[in-house]
Order: sequence, then structure tokens, then C-alpha cells
Amino acid sequence: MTAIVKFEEQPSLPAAKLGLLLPGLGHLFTGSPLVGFWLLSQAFLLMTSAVAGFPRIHSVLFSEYGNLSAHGAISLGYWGALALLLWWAAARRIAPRKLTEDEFNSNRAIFLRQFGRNRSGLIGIAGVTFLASLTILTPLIAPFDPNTLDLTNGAVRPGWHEVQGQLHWFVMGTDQNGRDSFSRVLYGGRISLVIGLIAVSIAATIGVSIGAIAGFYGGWLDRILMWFVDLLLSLPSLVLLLAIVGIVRASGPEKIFLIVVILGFTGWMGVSRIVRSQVLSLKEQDFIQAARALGLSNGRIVFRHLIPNALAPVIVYCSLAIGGIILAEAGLSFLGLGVSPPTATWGTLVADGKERLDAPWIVIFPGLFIISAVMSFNLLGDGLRDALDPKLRGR
Amino acid sequence: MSRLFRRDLLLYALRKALMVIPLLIGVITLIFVLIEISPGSAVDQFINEDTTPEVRDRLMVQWQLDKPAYIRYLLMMKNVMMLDFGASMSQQRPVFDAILEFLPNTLLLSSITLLTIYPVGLVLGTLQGVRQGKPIDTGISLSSLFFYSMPSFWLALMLQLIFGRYLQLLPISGMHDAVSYEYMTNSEAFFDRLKYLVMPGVAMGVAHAAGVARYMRSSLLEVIRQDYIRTARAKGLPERVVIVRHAIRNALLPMVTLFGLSLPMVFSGSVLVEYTFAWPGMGRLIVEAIRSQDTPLLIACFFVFTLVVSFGSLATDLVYALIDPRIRFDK
Repeated sequence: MTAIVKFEEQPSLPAAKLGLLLPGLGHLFTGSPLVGFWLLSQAFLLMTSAVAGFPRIHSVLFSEYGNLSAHGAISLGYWGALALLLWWAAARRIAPRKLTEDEFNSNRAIFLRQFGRNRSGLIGIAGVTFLASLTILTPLIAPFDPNTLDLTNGAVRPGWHEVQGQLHWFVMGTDQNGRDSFSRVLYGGRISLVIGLIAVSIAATIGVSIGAIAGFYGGWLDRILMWFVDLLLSLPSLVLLLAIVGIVRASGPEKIFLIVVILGFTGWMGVSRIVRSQVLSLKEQDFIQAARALGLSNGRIVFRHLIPNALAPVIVYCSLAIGGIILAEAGLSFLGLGVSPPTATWGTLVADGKERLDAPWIVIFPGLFIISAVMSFNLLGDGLRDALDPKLRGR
Repeated sequence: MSRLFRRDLLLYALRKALMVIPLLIGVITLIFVLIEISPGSAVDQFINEDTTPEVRDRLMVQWQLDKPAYIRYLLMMKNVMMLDFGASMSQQRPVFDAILEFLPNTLLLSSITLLTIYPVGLVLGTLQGVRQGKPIDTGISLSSLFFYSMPSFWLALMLQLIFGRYLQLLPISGMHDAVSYEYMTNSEAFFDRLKYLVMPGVAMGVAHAAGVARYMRSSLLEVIRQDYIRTARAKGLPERVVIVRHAIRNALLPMVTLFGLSLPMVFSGSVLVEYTFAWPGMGRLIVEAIRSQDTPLLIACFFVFTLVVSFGSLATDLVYALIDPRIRFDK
């Protein structure tokens, strides 16, 4: 029986009480400025959506026919959960938890400490969660319907404009058809980010299975699979993507589904290479020999012992790959082969404005959102890699 | 000279060159299968509700769409292997002529881009590696991350906006002056072409140069940790000599591999950039081929892409073996 030693996560400082006023302030002034900014950015979203959404909460929650709208309900529920979470984090800063030695030395605690020290990782996760909250809270924040045309207000610059006798502030101006660019960027972000997330999960699933099979069974199966991987990798990825999307035609919501699937099916090769090399080195290790000696089936060895141990680099790769997938989807939509209009994604929004360089705000803002999303995912991936790298462990 | 001629290299090159053939067959089969399983027929684009069934049948015979798929596949394979790509459905001319017109433009754009981004990326990466953790390292890291995350087509539009529309320094699109190019002297024509190359080259290259810098930085940091660098420092060599003669030269080796991997990426990038700048290259050709479901043209485009990429990677392998004598292929 080991003696239970109490470890504090961090000392309790009086300035932490500021967090109850506004989550994030407490962290900001007690030595965790990055975490502070992270919480502050979330708190900022919380307040923006309250100011913009609560006065017209009825139209957010109910459609014009009086039905409850799922998007509105989800975003209101998320608003409440986010508020609870933020104040819980602020309260925990005031009264830190005591940890036992085992808890302090657990993999999870080590990972969290490593990640907490990692500047790029923290900025990345702050950016990613900011965009995630922004997309979920979109129905509360977005001032207009993204697809309502108003041809009398086509391509007006950002600022105050009169719509039907009322003054409205157009944060990002309007596009050539008079649709509010800010609302379109917010709603477009939902599609772009969800496409990235689902496509990367598809790619990871395929890549992990194929890599594990190739690495575990070896021989001719390995050679054929890796030849196929090399074949796909040697083609310019965007060109292949274009060809598939262009050849297999679809329209409307089916098109989004198709693009997600195709992005997933053309993005798994990197994952499968990583998993294969991991499995090749893992399967010679003692714990796999032990599993064999215990008479476990191949399937159980692969899924319960090999894959879980090979996952860390896959997670890093995936968070780096989401950025690439977001860029690929934007490129497809820019060429007019992606998501079909009027559905907005960041790529189609840039495409919409490319003929209207006299109204540059149509192009500039969606582009900035693409950059910030891709940058956040890249920073997060770099941070995860540093935190998961065993060479840095135990410091 | 004897160092340049090595039997194992020759054999390796030969084997690798022969491996291109199954690769080509694989790629073309993939495209063919995709076209076959997709709904609709290539002939649909030529007909409308006024087309009589006879005309439709004649078109089907003309494009051999009346034959079963496997016969068309074998016929096409035979023709492609003899470099006969047939007639383009959308361009009203042989596919070969279209490729001959568009391929040099893409090669020009991508080779100039590659030749500019590598020196820039290498210098930036070296600066970062030598000054690790200093403000200059962080600054270059952040700005290269920014450009690395930027969609090339968005950068292209921003360049058009700033340099084409506001400053009016550079032409917005095209490859040379549409009106007066025919009447220019040689040097005028050269500078005209150069002017039209700048923006597409920058739009295509910036993200890539950022990638090169990132890779060079980590490669240099890896080398600097090695024992032979410590030895070089220990024997009292000046820091400049240690970095230039010992560290950079070894850090450059993995960059050769990166160069081979760059080719497919540059071709991918060329599609979006050529489309934005109305640059008459392979990228635009392939977008048109996809839009008009032009099977022969599409297959020829993929044939060319695969060929260029494979020989690019073969060339990098050989260069790598030549500059690094530790690499042997005969084991």
C-alpha cells in the first residue's frame, strides 16, 4: 500500500476569484495566460450570442410554421452547457483539486501537463474550440438567413445599411445577391468544418484498418496494399479528387454526402502507412508475443492490442489532415465542382466573389476563416505531437 | 567520372522505369472504371431533345460507345500503349495536339515556381535552424504557418486584387499580352512573359516555400545534434564553417527527397492557380475535360501526370544516390 501523497494541480491564488466575474480572467492573472485567453474567447462567444440571439429567441427556436427547430434548440442547449463549463473551470482555479500520487502520474495527467506547457497546442485548441462553438452557436449569432436574397442591397460594403426601413449593421457586407456575408460565412463554416471532421474520420477508419492488415499479415497482401497506396500517393491528390467528383455526378444534399465520402476515400493513404510501420514494430514486442502465447485470436490481437497502441501518431496526423481536407473542399467548391449552390461553404463563398473584385469583402472574409481554421488545426496537431512524443515524457 | 557511372544505379533506374508501366495501367484502369460506373453516357453532352435517335446512334458508333465495356477497355489500352489517345470529344481535335499545346505551359510555370521556392525556403529554414528559439525563428515559423494554411486560390485572388487592380503593376490573367505580343521584339516578349508569370508563380509557390522552410529547419536541427557537429566544434572550427560546411550540406540531403514529393503537390496546386489566372495549362485542360466528360482527354491527362511524376521521383532517387555515396541499390 503506497502512501497517498497529495499533489496540487496549481497553487490557489486570490486573483483566481476574478474568474467568477468573467471566466478566463482568473487564469489570465494567475500564471496561465493562454488558458485565460482560451476561456475568454469562449466567454466572448457566449456573450455575443446572448446579445444577438436572446432578443429574437422565439424566431431562433421556432420555424415560421411554429415547429421547434432542431438547430436552434441544439445551439440554445449548447449555450447553457458552455456557460456551466466555463464557470466550472473558473471555480476549479479558485479551489484546485488535490491529486493522489497515482492520479498525478497517470498518463492522462502527464499528457495534460505536457499539453498545457505547449504554446502552439494551446493556441491551436483555443482556435479549434472557438470555431466549433461559433458553428454550433450560429443560429443565435447569425443576424440574417444565409439564403435570403435582397437584390436592392447587392454587394454593399461592411457597415450600417437600411433594410426595409430599419438600420442593420452588416459586419462583412453583402454578396452580389444581397445575402448577408457574415451569416453566410457562419453557416458556411458549419458545412466546411463538418465535412472536414467526417471525412477525416472516414479516412482514419480506412487507413487504420488497411495499415493494420498490411502490417500484421505481411507477405503478398502487404505488397499489394502498399502498391495500391503508392499508386494513389503518386497521383496529384487534388487532380484525382477532381476527377472522381467530376465523373460521379450528383446534386443538392447528395453532393455534400458524396464529397465527404470521396474526401475520406482519397485521404487514407498517409494514415495506413503510419499504422503499418507502427504495427510492424509493435508486433515484435513482448506484449504481443504474450498475447499470442495466451492463444488470443488474430482479430483480438489486432483490434485490442495493436491498434490502440498505434493510435497516437494517427491522432496527430488526423488533426494535421483536417486542415488539408478543409483546403481541398474549398478548392473543389472554388472550381464549381464542390457543394452545389445555394448552400454556402467557405469555398463557394470565395468562388462567389471571384468575379466581383470591385467588392473584395465578399472574398476576403471567407478566406480569412479558412486560414484561421487550417492554422488552428495545424497548431493543434503540432502541439499534440509534442505532447504525445515519448521522448519528452517524464520531464 | 567513375563516381557518376554506377552499375547498381543503372539497374535501379531500369527497374524503376519498368515499374512505371504497371503504374500507368493501374491509373488508367482506375479512371476507366470510374467513368464506367458513373451515371450517364459521354454522348449525352452532344444531344438535346431535338436530336433524332439516328444521330444519337451515329454518335454512339463514332465514339465506340455501342461496344461492351471490356472491349472498349482493351481497345483503349492498346491505343494508349501506342501513345494514340484518339480524338478529344470536347476540343474537336486529336488529344495529342491538345496535350502538346498545354503541357509546356504547365511545365514552364511549375519549373519556374520550383526553382524559386527551393532557394527561398532553404535560406529561411537555415536561418530558423541556426537561430532556434530566437525571435527570427518564431517570426518565420508563424508567418510560414500562415502562408502554409492559406488556400492558393484565395492568395491568387488577393494578388489580383492588390497588384492587378489597385496598384496596376501586373496583368490580372493570361500568359502574354493579348494584343501586342505578336509584334514584340524578343527581349520585350521575354519581359512580357515574365510579367505574366509573377503572380501565378507566387500564388502557387508561397505555401510550398513555407513547407520547404519548415522541413529544412527540422532537418538542420536534427543534423546539429549529431556527434560529428560536436566534433567539428570541439576541434575549434569557426561556427560559420561548422554550419556551412558540415551542417547545411548534410541537412540538404533529405531535401532532395522532398523535391521528388513536391511534383505531385505542385501539379495539384497548378489546377487551382491556372484556373484563377486563366493560364492555358494542364490544370485548366483537366478541369475542362472533367466538366465535359471527355474520356479520351481525361485519360491522356492522367497518363501525362503519372509519367511526369514517376520520372520526377526516379530522377530524385538517382540524384540522391549520386550525392550521398552511402545509398546503394544493389543490396
